[in-house]
Amino acid sequence: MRINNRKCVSRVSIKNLFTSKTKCIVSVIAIALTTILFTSLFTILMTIAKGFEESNFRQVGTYSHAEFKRLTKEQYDELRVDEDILEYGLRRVAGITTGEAFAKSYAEVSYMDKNTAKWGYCTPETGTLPKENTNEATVDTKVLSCLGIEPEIGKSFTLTMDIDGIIVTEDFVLSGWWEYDEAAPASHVLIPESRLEELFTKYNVQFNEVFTGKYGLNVMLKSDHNIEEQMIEILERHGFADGENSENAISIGVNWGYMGENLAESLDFGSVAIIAVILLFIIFTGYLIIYNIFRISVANDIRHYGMLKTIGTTQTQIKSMVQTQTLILSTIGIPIGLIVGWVTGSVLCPVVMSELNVYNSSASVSPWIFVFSAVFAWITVMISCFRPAKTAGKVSPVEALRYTEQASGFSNRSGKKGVSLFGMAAARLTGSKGKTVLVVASLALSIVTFTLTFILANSFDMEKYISDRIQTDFLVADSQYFAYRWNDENAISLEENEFLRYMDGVTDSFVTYGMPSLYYPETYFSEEAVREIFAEYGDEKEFIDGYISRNLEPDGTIAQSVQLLGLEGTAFSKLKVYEGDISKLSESGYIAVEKNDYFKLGDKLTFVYCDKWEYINTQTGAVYTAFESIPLNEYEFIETNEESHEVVYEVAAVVEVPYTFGYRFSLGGSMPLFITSSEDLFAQSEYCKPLYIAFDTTDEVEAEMEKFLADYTETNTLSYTSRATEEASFESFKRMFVILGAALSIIVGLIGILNFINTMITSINSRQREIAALQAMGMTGKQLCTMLIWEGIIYIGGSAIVALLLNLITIPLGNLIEEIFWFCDYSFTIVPLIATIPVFAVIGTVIPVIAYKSLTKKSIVERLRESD
Amino acid sequence: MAILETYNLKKIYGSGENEVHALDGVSLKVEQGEFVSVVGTSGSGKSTLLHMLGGLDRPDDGDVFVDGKDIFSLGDEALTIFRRRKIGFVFQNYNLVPSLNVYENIVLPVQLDGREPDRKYIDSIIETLGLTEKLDNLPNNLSGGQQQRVAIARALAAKPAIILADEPTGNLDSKTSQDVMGLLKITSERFSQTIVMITHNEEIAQMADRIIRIEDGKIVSGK
Repeated sequence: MRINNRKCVSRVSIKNLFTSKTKCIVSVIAIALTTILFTSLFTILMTIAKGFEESNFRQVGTYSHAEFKRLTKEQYDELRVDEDILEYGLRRVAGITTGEAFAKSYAEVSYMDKNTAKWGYCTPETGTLPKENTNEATVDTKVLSCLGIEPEIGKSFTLTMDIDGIIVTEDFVLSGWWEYDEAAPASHVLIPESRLEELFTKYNVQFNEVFTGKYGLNVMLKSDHNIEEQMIEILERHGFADGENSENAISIGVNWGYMGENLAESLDFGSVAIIAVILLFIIFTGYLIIYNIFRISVANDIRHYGMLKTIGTTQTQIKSMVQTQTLILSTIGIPIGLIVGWVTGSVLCPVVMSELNVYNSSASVSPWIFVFSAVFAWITVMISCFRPAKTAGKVSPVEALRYTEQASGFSNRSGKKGVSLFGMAAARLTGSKGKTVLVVASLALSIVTFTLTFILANSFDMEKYISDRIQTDFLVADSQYFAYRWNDENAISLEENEFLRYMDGVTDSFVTYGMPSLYYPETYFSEEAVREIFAEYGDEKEFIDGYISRNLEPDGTIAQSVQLLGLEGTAFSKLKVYEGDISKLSESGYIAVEKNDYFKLGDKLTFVYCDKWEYINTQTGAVYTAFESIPLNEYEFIETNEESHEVVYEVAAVVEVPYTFGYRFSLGGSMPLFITSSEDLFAQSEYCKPLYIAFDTTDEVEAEMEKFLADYTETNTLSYTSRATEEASFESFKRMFVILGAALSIIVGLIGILNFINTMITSINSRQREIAALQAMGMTGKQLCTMLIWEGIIYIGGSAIVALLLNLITIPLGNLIEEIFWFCDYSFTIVPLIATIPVFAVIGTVIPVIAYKSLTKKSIVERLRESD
Repeated sequence: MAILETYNLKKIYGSGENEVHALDGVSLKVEQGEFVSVVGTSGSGKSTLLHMLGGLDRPDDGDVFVDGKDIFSLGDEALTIFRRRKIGFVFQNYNLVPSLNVYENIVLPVQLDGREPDRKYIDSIIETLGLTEKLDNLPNNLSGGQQQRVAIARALAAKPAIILADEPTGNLDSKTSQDVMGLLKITSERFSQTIVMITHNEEIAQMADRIIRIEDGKIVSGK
């Protein structure tokens, strides 16, 4: 039989809920605070994810889902109206800029409609896109600086371009510009479509290049999942095929920003573990208070539930009453928490984002933030209410009348000494252990969060940080070097080196040389070493087996490309030498190696230096001796080592090379880095180029040099780091850590204090009659107050002791902490703990006094009469 | 010598049409060592009278003298201190402190006064009330009758001038009620303790030395 009693059950639970205003308010605040923690966390995480995605899009150059490439006008008109395409944009390429102004980097000259420009980050910040039938052009600031013209609307300029192989020079009028983004793949000159057609006609363009004048259809699809499948489906619907070779083939380009390295994929186990720990921490924090609130409230209402049972309410109905109450409280608390949490998160985002190497975008408003936060908050509430609901449901009507909180404690207490006020307070708290433990844990958690934040921030060792990041006062290199993308094209020039080296106040300087990846020398590794390195890099066993069988030399070794650094002067003294003698490198025939598992001191190693490459087109078989001579429309070629020479070195030293001292990127796995002298490197390879110049200055000119470099590197592609910038970056990291830690401590602290307040007030309220009886027996207001304050102090003192113990546990974990924060020199201090004590002591005394005041508003007689 | 005296006690609740004369000119005298019961129906004003006698509530008019002291001339804190030295309470629902064991509950009023309990005296109370075996128990592990015996011991502990008992058997079954009343009677005699007990139960009231009847805030007999 099924009886419809839902309405009745929920009516009773709602009525019961609102009889206790304090409980309602406290629960809503507790649920809201827990939700704030979740929402802030998810806001920060999603903003980082958005930053990652944004960085990817910036690198791709657009956030449109995909592009149908190189269409004819007819194909373009047919495809763009497809029902699966939500929005589309057009791009047609005219050519690229050329000439002396663009010797270092070129810009693409093209027509983009409004959508394509917007998606491609080419919307002018000043001015407008070029208008049709004018000679206007809109460019990025890099083009402006290459041309050396002032940004000014209406300014005329000339541009030399390569249009389908024809070099032409044309006049334009500047109609707008936008800030060039270092991450962008290309620089742009946007012209109207009319001008594009005009140029093609004027120069009688034959469309030899595959892309010239073709229609590129950028699209936004219904969803950013399975973009490739959706694109192919669209093509097939119109009778086209994906690809390049067949008659009806149209090639598509999918934005890898949507499927490539997004945050979820780049998360390693460590980050996932950290996030999981934080989530568990928040659940636990929320549980401590919400569980306590409901436990107390069920205990206080137990007679009410007993009465309901007496009149025939079932266990399930009572359980669902408690759950209905939590549902109502959550519907109020969670939305409040979501809003406040998002605001908190978005305030904290810039602090975090500035420390990450991702695009600093505004706080994410992804609906997932709110979904995840609400779900986690709801889970926390459900976990917290599970036991109280069960207790309420299981209550026996008879026992409910006798039930008081101590009922569970059958253990008696011996002692014939009587008790002091402190003793009474202590007895009270040890009598209701559950409640006390929850409050103490809750408060201790906030103290630990706070103290650990400051102990750690205090342990961050600036010298340790800086000495690993920079070995000299200044280090200047091309900005690509700092972006982990150094290659010979962006080596700092010899002139720059000489210029910087002879500046006033420079006391010592050295240039470190590297080689472009194409010319890395090879040396011979054992088969085991290669297996280990490849496996560590993440290669599958089958791949490694195949690779080894193809490349194994008769003597059982395998040649591998390795990174080699050429050092000079005092650079050698910056290395940490584990064994051997680094000074031997001044003689030829000696090499040093980064500490590794495969090569040791005294090993004789053969290095193969490549002197000349050949490029073979795999389709035509044509051979080109220089990369530059390969025609632009040929893509498929392999490189072969045409000429090379060998050098035998003896390992003279095993050293440690700071990460910021070398290439700033490695070949993956545990592939070691080799060091030789710059003279030797020059002698072996004509392709070696300076990675950077590092120098020290006198103290007097250090600040001046800093300012000079800041201005100087604005005008060119160079960039620099210095002791001062590293100090700033250290301080900025420390600040982020402190701000996040403080924010977390504040919210966790509020939860702890709220838990304390609620417990204190409800416990005093539920003892109204007991306290009235004590007063009747002659306990003065002062004594009563003292007793209640003792209760508060015991909570606070207990929390401080627990927090201290938890802090002490971290001392043996110091090594682990130093491993996570490598620049941390863990030093324990109880100063932050002591600093929190006055705050909590005030709360611990003020709350009982307030509770006492509100209690004594009612006369003793009134309270004595109350039959609960 | 009268250990307790009241003159023309008046207490009015509400005003205008709703005005209720809870006490309407009550004057009475209780001698040292007397065991007096106050009987009346609910709403007769007997509880209000007891609260006045114990200094828990102040009258609108009239005076209460306990051991020769005009108790309402005292300020609140002084009155509280007076109470713990001169008045012992026994409540219907015992009102023991649940976190303290039996012994601690008993000596609590003495210790609140900053005094050391008189061990010999306390032991004799404990023995009289049959609590010797229960001293380490927490109140929740005791039966109602046992709890009320602890409450009586607690009321006696400070050697008060007077014990005020508010329906001390109200929560007990009749057998236990008889036991508790017997004990009250014995303590009254053995320790020469003045006791004023209110009850609505005639049978219980009969065990006292004297019965005062109260109706509509006025004493109707037994003054």
